[in-house]
Amino acid sequence: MAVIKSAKDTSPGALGGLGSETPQGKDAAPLHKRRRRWQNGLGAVPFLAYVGIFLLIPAISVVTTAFQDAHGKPTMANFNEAAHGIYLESFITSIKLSFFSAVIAAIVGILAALAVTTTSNRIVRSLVSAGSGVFANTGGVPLAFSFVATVGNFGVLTVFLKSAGLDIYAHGFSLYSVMGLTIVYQYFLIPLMILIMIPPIQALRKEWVDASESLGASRLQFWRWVGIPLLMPPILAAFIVLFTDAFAAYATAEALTSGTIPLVPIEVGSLISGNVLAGQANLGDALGAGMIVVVMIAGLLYAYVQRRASRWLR
Amino acid sequence: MTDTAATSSTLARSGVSVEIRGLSRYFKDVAALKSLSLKAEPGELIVLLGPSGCGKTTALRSLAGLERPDEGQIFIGSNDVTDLPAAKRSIGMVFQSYSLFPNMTAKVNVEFGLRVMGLKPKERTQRAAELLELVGLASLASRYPHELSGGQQQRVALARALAVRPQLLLLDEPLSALDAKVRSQLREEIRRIQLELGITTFFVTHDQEEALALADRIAVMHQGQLEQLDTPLAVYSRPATEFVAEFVGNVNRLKGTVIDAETVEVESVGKVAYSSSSGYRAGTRVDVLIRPESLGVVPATTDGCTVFARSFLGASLKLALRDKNGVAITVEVSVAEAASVATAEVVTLFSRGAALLVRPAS
Repeated sequence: MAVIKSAKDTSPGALGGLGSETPQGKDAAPLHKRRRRWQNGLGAVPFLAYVGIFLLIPAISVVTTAFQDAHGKPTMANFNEAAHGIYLESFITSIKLSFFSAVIAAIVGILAALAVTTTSNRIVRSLVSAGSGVFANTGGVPLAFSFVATVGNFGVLTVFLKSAGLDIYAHGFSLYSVMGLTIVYQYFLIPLMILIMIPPIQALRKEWVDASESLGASRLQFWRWVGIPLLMPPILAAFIVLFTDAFAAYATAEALTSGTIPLVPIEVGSLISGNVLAGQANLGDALGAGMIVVVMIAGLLYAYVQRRASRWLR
Repeated sequence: MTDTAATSSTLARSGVSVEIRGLSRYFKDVAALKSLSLKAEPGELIVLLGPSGCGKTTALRSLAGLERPDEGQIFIGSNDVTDLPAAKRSIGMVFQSYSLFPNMTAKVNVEFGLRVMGLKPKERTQRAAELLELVGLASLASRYPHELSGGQQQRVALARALAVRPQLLLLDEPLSALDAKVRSQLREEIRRIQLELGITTFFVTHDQEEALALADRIAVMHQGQLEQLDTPLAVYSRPATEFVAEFVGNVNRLKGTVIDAETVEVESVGKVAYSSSSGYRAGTRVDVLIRPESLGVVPATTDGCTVFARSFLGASLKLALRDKNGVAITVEVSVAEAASVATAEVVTLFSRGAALLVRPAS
């Protein structure tokens, strides 16, 4: 949520409303203004309560138990184990998968969002927006099954292509691999990117295009020097959303690969459900804590880049 | 002043003529421009004046190459630029809503066109400094647009437009988003810079006061057509059409009867001089259009016009009157003259100038 909010805050649309007034210091604000600020802050209480109960408390619990053994005694053994062997490999694979999935989805999603925002056909715009809303929230077993039925070993498309003389599996493709998962993830990541990017692209003012054109710039130069830099903060924010979405995806990967590819969410699920060894929940918590760290690093990286990229916002 | 003069000497150039021939532009079935033709002389400032939707911005955007006309031609100098894209027209344009690139400082904004032209950083910096000096913002070069006021942003936009040494400067309602004082200051500054550079300029506005103050000539537009192209004085004192008379300045429309080829008897006013090529016969009922300042007032006791509102305008006083038939009449008198009718409830009108237009009675 926080990441999405940042994306909105930093969208070019938000730029238009910036005035030249200097914010007053807290001490300088009159009493009634301070009181109003406090009253306005009350509106955030439900959200803060929600975040506290469903995000903060579980996160603290995960991190705390990650430092304990099965008997509740303090230990670093869980982290030590999480940083080696199959678990380290799962982190590397998860990060690679999420990164490349997010990169592909970001590029395709931006191009699609640009196409949608520039079309004059309202029906196309409505269809893409509505469709993206649905597809961005589609995942899990049904999505895995639909891909198995289409491009699985005996999927409709696989069989059709084979009968036409092209055996995609003989050419190195496999749905049940990291490459296969990357493709499947695009199904929900690209629509998510479209949904996130349409508002900031729409907020780019036509006068900026006209002004650059009147100054002799080509459309490419406009995008290079104006459009892309202005869209960079929302693009980065969207990229982090895509990355974390792919990083945390569990059901689709589990249904498609049955745990044959080491991914952190699958390892956590396996440890918590005790499929391999009983009493390994604390190790699962250590992996969970590791996931939190990865997401936090991604968030900090975003904040750093956004700070450098958007000096004009301050 | 010395600095500015030195700067302008490095910027000075002679303007080019610009001609629009039979320009038409249709949006679906609506004609935004109907066979518009006009010519600007080198270094001239022409104001396109008209109400919203009259086609003035479409005309300006067509000149810029941002709008493609359906018919007609545009010449800059001797070159037909009708089919030339905006990027190749050598124009500088300033928009109503500032349109500075928010991710660039004032200096980098001004350098934008020079960067497109491929100038070296050193030359760009020098040129940007000259232009920011010209618009009086040299000290704010490193500020981002959101750190500048509206007036300052528009000055930067003007500097950016001029940096590329355009042949033609186009200004699309550049002052309409500013408050009255800044508007007046910037208006004078735009005119000063335009005269210094001698650049041919088109300025779009719906503000008649702005048009009268700035223009070498005013092109009054209405429903996609040119109603009149003339000097501010001529447009104000010799309007070509009723629309021009009523749109530029204030005007009273009163009933009258023609006495002879030079005089008309106007109700509640008396005899008023007029000139017309229509050759009205004596006794013809006509509508007489007359400016508020062409009427004078003296206090009356009974028979006259009732004063129902007074507006103090600084150097003059505007009186809102109603004659015995209930017709609203506006009169503008000097403050000195206003003293004589300061407390009068009823006044008598007299003519102190000629009628603007005389038309057959509606």
